[in-house]
Amino acid sequence: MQNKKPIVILITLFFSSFAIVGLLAFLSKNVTDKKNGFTRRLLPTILQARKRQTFPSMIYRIAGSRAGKLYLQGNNPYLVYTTNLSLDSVTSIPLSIPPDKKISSGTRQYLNGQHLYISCRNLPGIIDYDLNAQQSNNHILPYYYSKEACFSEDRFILRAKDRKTKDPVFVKIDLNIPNARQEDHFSEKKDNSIFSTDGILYYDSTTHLACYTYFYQNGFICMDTNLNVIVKGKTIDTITKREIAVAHVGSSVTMKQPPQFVNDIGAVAEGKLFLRSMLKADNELPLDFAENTVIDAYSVTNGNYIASFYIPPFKGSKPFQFHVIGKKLYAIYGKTVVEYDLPPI
Amino acid sequence: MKKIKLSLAALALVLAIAGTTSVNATKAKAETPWCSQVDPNACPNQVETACCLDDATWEVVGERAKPH
Repeated sequence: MQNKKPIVILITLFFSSFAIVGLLAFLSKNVTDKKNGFTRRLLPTILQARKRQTFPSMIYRIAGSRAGKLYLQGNNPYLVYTTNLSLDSVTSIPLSIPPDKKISSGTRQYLNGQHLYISCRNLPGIIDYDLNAQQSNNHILPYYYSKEACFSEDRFILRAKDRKTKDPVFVKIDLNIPNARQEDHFSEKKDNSIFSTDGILYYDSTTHLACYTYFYQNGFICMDTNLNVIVKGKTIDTITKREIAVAHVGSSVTMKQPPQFVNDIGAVAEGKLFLRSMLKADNELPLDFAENTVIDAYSVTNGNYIASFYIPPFKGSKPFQFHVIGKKLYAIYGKTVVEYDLPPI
Repeated sequence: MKKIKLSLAALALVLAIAGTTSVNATKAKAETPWCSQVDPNACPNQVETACCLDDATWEVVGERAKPH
């Protein structure tokens, strides 16, 4: 009888290990499915891929469109790809720019008419490449910046450092007068951290508003090109400001731990802000949220929430970036760009 | 004595399984790419999130070539 006891104990422990694993799995599922305290107005329509095009290299972003052509930035800063709005063909345009090691990474291309601006945050400066004349003009800036938006020929809004407090502020510049800059009067100047208010800057050519969305806190702001705040919008999540832990490593500054995102990539077009939310609404199915990219649409003129929809995955991947041009949504998945019909909003 | 050893071994097994499951559950939540002082040279290129900057100038530090 005594010899049987260890076997009983072992069997009991064996089954209890399964019970513990099951319990942990259940608790883990409950954590993932936790309520975030808000709901979405999800559109019933599902985005259908209309066209797709695979490019020779990774595509980072769509620089803009003109004369029925899309201009796309790949991983080569000395090249721009073009295709038509239906993504039927691909053409590579080499940019005759003098090679510079500092523009090998961290560049962003913006199209404004015949001007292809190449923002080189690490230069720091902006190269104005004339697509018609095939000539470039370097505009070196006397300070570094972390975001940029082109609002007209040679004019940009940047997010740069305040000269006195070192806080991030929005500045308006004319590339032809690089030393002159106009600063905003609304940015908070209290914690010196670029990280806590980090986000993305956009420009909507329809409403002539520049909008800024935050990664780690609720809300967005839209300003006119004179840096006056027009709208302070609230995103539908209930997250207030996240505290970001900052670490100093030598002379550089970084984050101490992975930040919790509230909103991520987005696009602005025709008076609407399309923003990817990183938080599941209480009325969403966990699998829908996990597999798709949820986009919340807001009005940039009054800040109101309009509706939400999903960008489906392509070959199991979520889009790295997306753009809205007219009634089309272009999502970038590595080397492939997929065109969707934008749902009526 | 033998029974105690056996029971302890079994308990260790249970804890090991439970611990591994718990750690994996935590890992699954951190899906967003990020950088930190653990790997300051891992700032992904073309991602809009500020990652590692020079404290004085805001020059991006350690941006790597492949983004996604």
